[in-house]
Amino acid sequence: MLLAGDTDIRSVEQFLYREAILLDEARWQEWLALYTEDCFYWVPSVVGQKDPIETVSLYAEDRMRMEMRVIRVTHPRAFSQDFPTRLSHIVGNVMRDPEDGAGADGGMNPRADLVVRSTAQILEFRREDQRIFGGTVRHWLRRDGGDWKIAMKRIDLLNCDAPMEGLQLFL
Amino acid sequence: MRYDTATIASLVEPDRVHRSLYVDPALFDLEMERIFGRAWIYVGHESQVKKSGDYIATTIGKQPVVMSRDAEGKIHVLLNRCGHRGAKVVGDREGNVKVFRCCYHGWTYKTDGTLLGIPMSSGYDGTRLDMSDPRYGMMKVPRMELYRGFIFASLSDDGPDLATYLGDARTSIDNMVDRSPEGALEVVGGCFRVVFRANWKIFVENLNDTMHPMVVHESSVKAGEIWAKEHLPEGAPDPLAVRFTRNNGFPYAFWEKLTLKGHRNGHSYMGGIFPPRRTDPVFLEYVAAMEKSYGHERTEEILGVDRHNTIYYPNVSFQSGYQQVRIIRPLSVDRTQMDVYAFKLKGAPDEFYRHTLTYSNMVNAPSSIVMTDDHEAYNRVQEGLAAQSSEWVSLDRDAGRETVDGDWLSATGTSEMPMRNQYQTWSRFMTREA
Repeated sequence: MLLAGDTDIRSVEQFLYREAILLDEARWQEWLALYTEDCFYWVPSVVGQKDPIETVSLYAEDRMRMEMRVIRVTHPRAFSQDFPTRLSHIVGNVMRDPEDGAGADGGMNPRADLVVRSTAQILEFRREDQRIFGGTVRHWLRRDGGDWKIAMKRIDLLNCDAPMEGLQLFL
Repeated sequence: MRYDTATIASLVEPDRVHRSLYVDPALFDLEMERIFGRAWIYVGHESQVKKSGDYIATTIGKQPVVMSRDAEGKIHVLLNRCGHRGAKVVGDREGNVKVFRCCYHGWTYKTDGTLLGIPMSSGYDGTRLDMSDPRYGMMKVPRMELYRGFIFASLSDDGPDLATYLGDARTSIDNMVDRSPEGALEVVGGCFRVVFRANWKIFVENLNDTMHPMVVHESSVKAGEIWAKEHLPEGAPDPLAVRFTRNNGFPYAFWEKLTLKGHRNGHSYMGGIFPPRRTDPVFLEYVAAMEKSYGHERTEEILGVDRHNTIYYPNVSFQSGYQQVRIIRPLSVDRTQMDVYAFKLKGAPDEFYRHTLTYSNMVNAPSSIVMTDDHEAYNRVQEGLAAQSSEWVSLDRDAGRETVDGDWLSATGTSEMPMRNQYQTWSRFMTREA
């Protein structure tokens, strides 16, 4: 695990902002390129969820499933995207995770050099309605030359166990 | 408008239904009274209230209920309403308590609903209030029955018992339980609560609608196909996630060959769409556990039952082979919540349950790349029916071609028989005034 002193937190912030912009602008291939080949994208369905193996998850996707979602959402016959969903992210409170991701990785044990904790507020708009999502985000980052790649992302939504309408994009 | 019996009867014809069934709030209210207020409604599974004092809160139609296990270990379904001034007693979704206590004036109840205590009860001395009168307790629903661990309740004290109501359609529940090497199921891992903007019946219809998958799900079918083509060598087996999407793309001839069965009480099921016997190591390990429990022949018999969706009219769908139960909770005439539970087969390898969850996450999650398009279709039916171009909604496909055998109708795989059958049951419930 990399010490905080070795890392310029500003560069990490810029990296997270870049991810947010790619999501907001639906630049899916560039977004996928931020993730490692062995990545995992996880949005638990209960507060403090321990793992994605015993309990259902809003998202529990490896790279294959992430790529399938991107193919679907950009496919001309994705009827639920006749009116494409739009996103707008605000990322804040970026810091090295004080626990370095301990107990939060759901047993996925991602190979990472730095775990970053942030808060996200996400507006989602489709057709008539705007929804608000938000919560705590953890990125398990792996050094990739002079840059970072995401080995795992976990989003603990404030309303993870609420009744909700469909989620189509990545958050 | 107020509906008289003759008017309600006129809304359902053998091969079409009136659009008001989907859009009129007055009919929705009447459904809550006459269907959800009378039929056997699925509430939950015994493993959700394992220990004394465990409870879950849910609804039957619009009425709040609590399913609890009392101090003696008996399961109850109680109306979630204080016997005093009517406050909802249980305010969260699940938990464990010694007693239920109303947050308003502190009345307490045993976990079987019996009124236990009232603060300063001397204030009721000499009044009409009788603490032993169940009306001052959290009242039990008029009828509650278990079938192989699944709890159903009826808000009416009149009607057939559960086994009679489910009829032979209950074999899908049997099959779901029999697929456990220990003959027991367990809910361990959460619940999806998915909302769509359409009348509940549109979902019930869709469960045995085999003319929609190749159209509605084209984008996820293609996602599976394109991904496999780009990443897998020719002829390699599909990973589960790919298979779960691609199967919806089978040609019409495949679906036509399935069998549809409709029970006289409105239930129905369709033949399986996934190969019933997988050949991956996890499945083989599971088969070995089954054979240890049941022997080869019985195991073959159990795994040979291949059904995709079974509907128990009006509110629950079982996917026996994939351990999924979907509960239909109507919220309003144009809004429905679906609660989805994944079950663990006791005695099956741990890895087997991971496959169950892969299915849940792929197919039944709010983020499902499959179900999202179903919901888009339901929502558009709801919006489209605002157009009054016709008063009727067509259920003509293969009408009159079904065959009758005792309590069952049989039809070829793409027939709209299950829907026509559902509406005959709808009509029977709705035209009975008392």
